[in-house]
Amino acid sequence: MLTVSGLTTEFRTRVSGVRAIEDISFDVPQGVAVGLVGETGSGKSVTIRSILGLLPATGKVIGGSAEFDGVDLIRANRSQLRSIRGRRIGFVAQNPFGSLNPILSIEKQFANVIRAHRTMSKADVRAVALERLESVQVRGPERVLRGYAHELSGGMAQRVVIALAMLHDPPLVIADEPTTALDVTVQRQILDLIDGQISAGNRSLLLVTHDLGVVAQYCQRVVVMKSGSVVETGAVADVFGDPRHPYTKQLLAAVPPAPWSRAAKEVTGA
Amino acid sequence: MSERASEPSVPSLMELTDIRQVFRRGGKEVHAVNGVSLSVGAGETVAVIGESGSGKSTLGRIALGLITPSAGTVTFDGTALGSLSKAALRGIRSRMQVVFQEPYESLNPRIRVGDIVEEPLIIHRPGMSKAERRTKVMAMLERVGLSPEHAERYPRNLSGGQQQRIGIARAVITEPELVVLDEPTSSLDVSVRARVLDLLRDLQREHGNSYIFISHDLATVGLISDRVAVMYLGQIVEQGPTAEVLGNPKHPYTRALLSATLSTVVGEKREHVPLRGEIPNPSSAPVACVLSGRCPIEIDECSTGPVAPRRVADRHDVACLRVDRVDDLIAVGEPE
Repeated sequence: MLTVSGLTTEFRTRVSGVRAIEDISFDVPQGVAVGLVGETGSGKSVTIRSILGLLPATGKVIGGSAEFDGVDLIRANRSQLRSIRGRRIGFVAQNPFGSLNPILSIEKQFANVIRAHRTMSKADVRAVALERLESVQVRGPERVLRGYAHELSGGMAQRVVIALAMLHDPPLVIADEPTTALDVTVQRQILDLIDGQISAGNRSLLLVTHDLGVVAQYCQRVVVMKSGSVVETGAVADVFGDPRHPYTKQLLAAVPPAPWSRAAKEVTGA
Repeated sequence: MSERASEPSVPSLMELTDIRQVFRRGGKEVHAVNGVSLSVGAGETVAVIGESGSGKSTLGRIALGLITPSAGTVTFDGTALGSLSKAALRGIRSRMQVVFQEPYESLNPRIRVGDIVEEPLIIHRPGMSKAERRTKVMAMLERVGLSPEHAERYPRNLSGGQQQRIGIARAVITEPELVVLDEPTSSLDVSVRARVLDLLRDLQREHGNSYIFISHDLATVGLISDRVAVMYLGQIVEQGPTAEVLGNPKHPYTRALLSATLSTVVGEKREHVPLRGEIPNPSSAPVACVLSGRCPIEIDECSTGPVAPRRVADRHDVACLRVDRVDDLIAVGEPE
């Protein structure tokens, strides 16, 4: 579905180029959720921004490819990329309020996303938007459509962003820390929602996260990054059950066990 | 109305009794803290757990004497903070310190690391000579895992973990009896987080100080605290010894928080305790159980009035009318 090979990106500084990621390779197969994990500065966000053509002006991909739908996204021109993004690849960012336009009504934003790729009457836009908001369990969808982003809670705003990302039923969804900005009890609702939307459509998911628990419970494959390189990749059950790279071992060992888990009970004696 | 604070098993250092904090925002009253009683023992770590808007940070600032609460009393080592003159309050505050979540934002970017760590000594130890202070600063930097060269650097030249070590060094250099840790590891990567927690534990063992550890992360709290208080919408809904609250949680909200913590063991997914919707704004005084409207097991009685905590086990208090039925209604323990 998505094949990234040898991806290398540099950032320009006053004096020279700083390599942010080097020789990144991994696959996202059809119908599979892949977790891209790493700590701050590991290059996980640069990787997906390179793939999606969303690097800031100082960043440049200097090598490698990202094949999707028979197109190399790195070499695709702007109009090709625009037609793929949104229609064939849905993107969910960390901060929903950064993704939504603060001065357009939610209904207008649905109309814009739909009309970016097809023509549709106002009444039909409304019907589609209502149906999609219901599918992501937004309560009072009519009221939400009339309203603006700032009137929504973080969890509701992220649901709207997910509905927008799913509008054209993209076969691949890329989510960048989609629950990091949300409260703990809401995080799991949103993960379950994304999981449901992915499984229902037999879609692929590339989930960027720093949370190894999220990868263990929601992904089938994992790519572990450190300092701009991939250190380990494989099936989640294999990598988490028997990590080979010292960094993966260290990372897994650093996560305290979930308080209700068998491991935690051994620690606290509860 | 005031409930007895769940007591520590050691002599008490700080007593918060029936604390209330009302803010006015746009003509509306916001009850950030609503009748909280909490006791912190000497040498003890008490975790205050909650999501954003629970009032946990406000409670931390009240404990430090940075905010005077709208109602209720704060007692430190037998002295009520509310009764003190400004000078006396400053004296007592020198026995308490704070470490904030964002290390970089809480360090002055124009001041060298050595001077940052020295500053509390200048303020609180006026009798100390410059040479004595410098010796102490160097020893402190080494103690938190930094080298003497770091003293000449500026905060921006250090990593997040190093910056937080400086925040900790600055807080403990005057050997305070109480340190309020406000999400001290939340902005750090997991591998750094574990080492900072180790440092905090070691320092406590050496100095015998108390911590109020404010966090939203139950897994971290399980590693460091003796007791846990779970806050929601300005109230403590459950508190008790850590092993008891995390191992045998009795409030539906604590269960929901716990079930949201994901295990890194593949397939070890706990049954999700769903809460409806999201945390409402604490704009009105509760006329019902704080969780009503979101709780999966609420009954009509839950919305008739506020719910007082009840003792369910040794030092374990829970504010829930359905506490006897929680086990039947919300599955606990290992997943199938």
